[in-house]
Amino acid sequence: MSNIAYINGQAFTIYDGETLYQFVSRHAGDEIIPVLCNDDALEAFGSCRLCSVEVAREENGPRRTVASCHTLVQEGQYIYPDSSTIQKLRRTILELLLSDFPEDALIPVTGEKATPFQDIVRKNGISASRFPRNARPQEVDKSHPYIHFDPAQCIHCYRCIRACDEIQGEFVLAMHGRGYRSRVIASLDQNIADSECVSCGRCVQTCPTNALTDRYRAKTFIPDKTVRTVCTYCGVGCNLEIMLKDGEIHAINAVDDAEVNQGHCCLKGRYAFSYYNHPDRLTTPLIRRDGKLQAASWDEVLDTIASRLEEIKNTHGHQSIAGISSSRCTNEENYLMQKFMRVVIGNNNIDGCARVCHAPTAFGMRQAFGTGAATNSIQDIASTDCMLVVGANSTEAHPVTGAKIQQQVIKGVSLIVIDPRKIELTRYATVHLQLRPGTNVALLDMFIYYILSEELVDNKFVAQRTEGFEEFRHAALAVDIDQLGKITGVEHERVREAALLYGQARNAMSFHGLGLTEHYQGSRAVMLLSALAMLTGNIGRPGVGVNPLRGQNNVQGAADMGVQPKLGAGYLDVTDETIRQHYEKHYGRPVPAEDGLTTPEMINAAHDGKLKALLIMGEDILQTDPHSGHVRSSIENLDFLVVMEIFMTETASLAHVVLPACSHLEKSGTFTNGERRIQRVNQVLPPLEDTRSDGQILVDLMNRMGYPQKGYDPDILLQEISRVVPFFAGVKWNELGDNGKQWPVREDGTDTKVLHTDQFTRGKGKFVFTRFHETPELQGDDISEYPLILTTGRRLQHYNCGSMTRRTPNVELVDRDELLLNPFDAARYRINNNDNVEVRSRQGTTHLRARISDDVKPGVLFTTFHFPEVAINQLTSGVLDLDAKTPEFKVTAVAIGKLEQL
Amino acid sequence: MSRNLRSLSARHIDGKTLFEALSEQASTTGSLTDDQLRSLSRERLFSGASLLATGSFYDFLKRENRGKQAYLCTGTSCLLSGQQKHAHDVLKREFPEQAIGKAVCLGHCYCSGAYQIGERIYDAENGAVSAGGSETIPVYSHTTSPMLTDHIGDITALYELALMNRAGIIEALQASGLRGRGGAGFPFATKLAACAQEPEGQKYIVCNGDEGDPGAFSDRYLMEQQCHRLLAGMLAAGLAAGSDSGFIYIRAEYPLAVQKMAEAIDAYNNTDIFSRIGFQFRIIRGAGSYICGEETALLNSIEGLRPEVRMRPPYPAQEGLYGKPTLVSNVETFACIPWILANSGRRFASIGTGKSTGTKLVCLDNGFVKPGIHEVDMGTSFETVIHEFGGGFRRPTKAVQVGGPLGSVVPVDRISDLSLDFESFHQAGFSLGHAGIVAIPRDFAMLDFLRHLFRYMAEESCGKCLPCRLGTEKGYRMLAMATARQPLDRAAFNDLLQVLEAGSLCGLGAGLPLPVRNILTYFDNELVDTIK
Repeated sequence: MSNIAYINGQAFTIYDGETLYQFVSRHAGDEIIPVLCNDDALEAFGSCRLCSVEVAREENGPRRTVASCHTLVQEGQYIYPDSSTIQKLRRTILELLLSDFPEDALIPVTGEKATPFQDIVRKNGISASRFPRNARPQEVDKSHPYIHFDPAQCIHCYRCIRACDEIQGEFVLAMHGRGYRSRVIASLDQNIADSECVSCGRCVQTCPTNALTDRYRAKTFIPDKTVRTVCTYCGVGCNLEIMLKDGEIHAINAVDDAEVNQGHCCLKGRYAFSYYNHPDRLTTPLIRRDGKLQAASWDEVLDTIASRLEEIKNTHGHQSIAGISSSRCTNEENYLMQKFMRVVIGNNNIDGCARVCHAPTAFGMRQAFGTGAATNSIQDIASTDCMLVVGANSTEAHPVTGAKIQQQVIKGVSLIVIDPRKIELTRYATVHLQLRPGTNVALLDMFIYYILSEELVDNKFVAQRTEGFEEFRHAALAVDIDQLGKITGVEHERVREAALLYGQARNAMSFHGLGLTEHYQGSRAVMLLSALAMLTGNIGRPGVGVNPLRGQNNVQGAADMGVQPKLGAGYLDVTDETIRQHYEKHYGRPVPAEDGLTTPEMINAAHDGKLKALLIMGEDILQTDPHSGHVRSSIENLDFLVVMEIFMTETASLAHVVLPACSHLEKSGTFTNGERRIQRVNQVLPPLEDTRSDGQILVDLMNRMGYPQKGYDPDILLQEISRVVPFFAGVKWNELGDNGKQWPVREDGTDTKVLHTDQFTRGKGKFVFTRFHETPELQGDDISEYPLILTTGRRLQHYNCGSMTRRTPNVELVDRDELLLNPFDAARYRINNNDNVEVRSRQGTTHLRARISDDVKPGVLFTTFHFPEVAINQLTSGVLDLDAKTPEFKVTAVAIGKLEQL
Repeated sequence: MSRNLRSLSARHIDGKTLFEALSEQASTTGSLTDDQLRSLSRERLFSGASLLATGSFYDFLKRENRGKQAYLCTGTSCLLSGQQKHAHDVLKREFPEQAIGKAVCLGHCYCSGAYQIGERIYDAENGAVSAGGSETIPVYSHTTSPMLTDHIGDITALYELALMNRAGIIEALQASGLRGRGGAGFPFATKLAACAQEPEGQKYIVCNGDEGDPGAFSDRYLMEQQCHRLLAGMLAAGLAAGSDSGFIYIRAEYPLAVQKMAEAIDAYNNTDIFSRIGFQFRIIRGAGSYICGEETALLNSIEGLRPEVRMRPPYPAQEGLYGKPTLVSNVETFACIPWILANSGRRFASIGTGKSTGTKLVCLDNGFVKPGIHEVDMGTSFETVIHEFGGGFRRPTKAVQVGGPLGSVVPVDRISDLSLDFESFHQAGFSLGHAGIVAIPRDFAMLDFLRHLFRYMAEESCGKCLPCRLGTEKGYRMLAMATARQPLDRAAFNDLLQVLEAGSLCGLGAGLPLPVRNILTYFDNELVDTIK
């Protein structure tokens, strides 16, 4: 008999490599073998022994007891998963556990469901123990705003420790001591709040008792409704299970079978949801009367907007109006926003927050490959041999992807980090190239020089699939490597080492973030990174490619939907006559041919009085765009500012009309994550009080302004989008399923994990070489007055301008922006930790609390932009990327000085 | 076992291992301080929690033992000798109470009341300092083919035996029938062949010199006085397996063995053979934990992980030290190999019973008239070993425990039924183990002996699997509380033994029920009032 084993005498088929537990559970149900230490998301551990079964080589042969979770099933084996011997064994193990378990914790907390442990105890009919009870620790650790630990309920299954190790890769939890006296500790035996815990909550989700719980009791909460939707806190696109009761959100779990996050997520996705019904939510339309924003009815404000826009258009021409869309909104809403601007207002003055983040990626990768999106999928991290991470702090800004990268690197996959800061990933990195901010192009030039000089070029790939190589090679080899070393501040031997790692790897994959794009030469750097992949043949198969990590949940989708001036929905060039015909066919109205304004151009046009009206959907440009002094005066110069928002942001407070929109939890639609995955966002709750979804607001406006648009419905809108956007051809609301589809989606519904497999979207890949040019920000006669470079980024606990996360208990973890400075600079300016420091740039001044750290090099400062009290973008400069017009947030020339203690 | 932590530890595979670095740090301060942990964490990329998790496991690294200057042996022989209190009194004259720690076992079971001060071990019975200790082990040979206790002549000749072709070594060992001397008696050549069959690449040979069992000191003897025999055996097995690197894990309680083995490795490194083949030896010194004698815990210990037992499969031969194919075996087993190679496997197999072959070092504790190490042929009548070679008991004795605290308890009236081989013991419901023998005096209460066994295992259990972690502690507590007025619930106790035996992850929990059941069977009359 081959491939057969017997469960209680009955024959069943074996799969290769299957454990006894998997085999028995698959055929006889997962109730028959109870488990405590086993979690399918973790490696088998074999500690609880509750899963023990009896096995024999032949029927009625001598039986052996083995743990089924880690023992492979064998052909012809006789398995007795619930014999009386086994049942007795299980009952005694449970009795042993019960002898120390708090008696009052054996039944579910009133109103909650049972934990897996409580369930198993009940099913085995154990209520008392014959074994002596030892005194157990009583103190519950409630130091952390979300995660609580009650050691008395810990059954030593190690699941929390293994989750912290095998999934998050943080190793904060560990077992201390040995034997009976061993216990779970956090960091150096500290309470959780003081430990290095990153609050991902994976330990809580896996804990089979109430030893580890969260403040929302997510594990045992009994919802009256559960909705699966997509997180909005970054471009990873984690799937969340939202639990409701009486119409309110009570708790969130990460979805176990989600392809994106496999039961994992970060503290923002899991815990930071209480903003949604925060008292600060805008719930009434507001209109400015007598210089003050005052409550109004929807009809009133919509009529006002329609008439004011018509009026301005008639008086100042159709180019005097512009719109800014939002990457936090759905694809359908972004599609409507650009359509509104193009066919109702009648210009191409439409832009979105991709302008301030990944527009250089879209531009640069389009130049090189023909498509401005990630070439590969996140799952490829598991099959690559080398990762190159440039200007992306993934463990904080894209935590679930960051954890996946970290897992592979810890296991020995090589990692090159190009970043001015010692970010968490550098701890395990093979090489960290800590360059001076603003010198990515110089560093990539060095990198490419060594790929060429060390003969690491994939000649076959280059010959068959690319163009422009000879010219590129010639220029790239002509660089002065010593001088580039001085510019970047990185020894060229280290760059050579990195080039060898990347160039010699069988499969090498790059990731980049805003540290690459938000620069004077941002787009050019993206082109060089793309060239690097082509030079080494790292394109077109799993485990390779160029993969931007998207900062917001729908940056990819907003751009796909046409939220940029020149390229309409599906990146089709509106200046092309045939393209306009294509759009006109579907929109029923002509699309203007004239190129429109980017966001920085809109602000300048407002400043110059050329732009009169601006419609902003869900963006706080005053806090997130650079040189906010300039932004403020420009906005104040507008005749009419409309803001659709959920909170009264800095920008909204200057508006003439504020429309109370609703959060992603209150609407349906789709988001497209950083790996081109279009996922369904499912409405969890009805819109709060008198709020409306951005999509519905746009529909209402379009109808009022004479364009018939059906009510906001993602199903119907996707039907329209799939006709307009070629790579959405096969996208249907009802066919997206739980895990979505990665574009391009062909008409038959099949999707795409890897782009450019046989040829590039543009045919042949194009090499473009660029030499380094210093940003104007660091030049000029007055530069000696600003001797330091300030660069900015995010922290794990907060999201962008912080309007959402600051209204959650995340502020108990991080309640301010801080200024990181090197000990050398601290000494030079006589600054101590926690000193209040004045930071001054050409654009403005702010105050920050100092934290001394060698994570930054001398001469470099770092801070975040989450808190309006600091409003760091008062300082950032007006320098733009030469190609994509993206502001150079990452380099600001500054001076610092200690303020007297307050 | 964490693949991640193992992978991080392996980044420093060529230098000082993480475990060595931890021990070194602890030796400067008596245990690991937060600052030391933070600095090691930066250097080794282990989180502070993971380092503290490892450090807190070991007696000589944990914070509770900071400032201990002397350690009193609490092993079985010292307990039974009645000399522990005397030894404690001696120490109290020299040290404050808080500076006196406990250790098990110091491997001086042939004398009694042992204690350790610094790198030296003393005993209460002789009062005086036993200079260096080892030279005082009485050694007897009762075989016509002494292979472990005779004088080593030319060490080069010994090492040259290892240069035989790989297949030849495996063949000779197969023919010899050599079985592991650590206790389990697994055929050595099978293990070696499994490791040799793994694809070529980095492989390791690991010698388990963590002889923690009270009553056993034969490995200590071999590591102190027969070092080159051991190294040559490891070299031969290593070359046959396709390895170029051997680790010898020696417990911290054996400082002299560490010193002697280090000297022997220096001598080996100066031989022509070393310069020709480059096979390297490294010593890893333990830090006080009995479970490190379990082979997978030992591998984790070397790697700097918590020495918790790994699940099997995978077996060390497939995935051992740092995940590489590894042959782990005991000191005495390796030490037999040179004789086999010099004299043929067949000759080795001709000694003994056919299934249990060769000679065996038998350790007799201080309860015998002639305590010490006795090299005897396998298959020798047990009566002869006890009464003739050992000269009988020094005091009235009711039973012997054979093979450490997890070994069988044989009542004196069953001695004549047995012969010194694996099969004879097994068939009679006992086990031979490593054949370290402890005499249990007639006036020592079996209830106290049971308490001792359970307490020992409760203290040494790694705590990974629930049956052992809870079973040893709860079993001890049941025994500790048992009185004639409140006797122990025997049904519950039996269930507990069943869980330990069938459910435990390794031999520590699974092995404890054997001596306990032996005692319940043979000394029922003594326990009838307290275990009902």
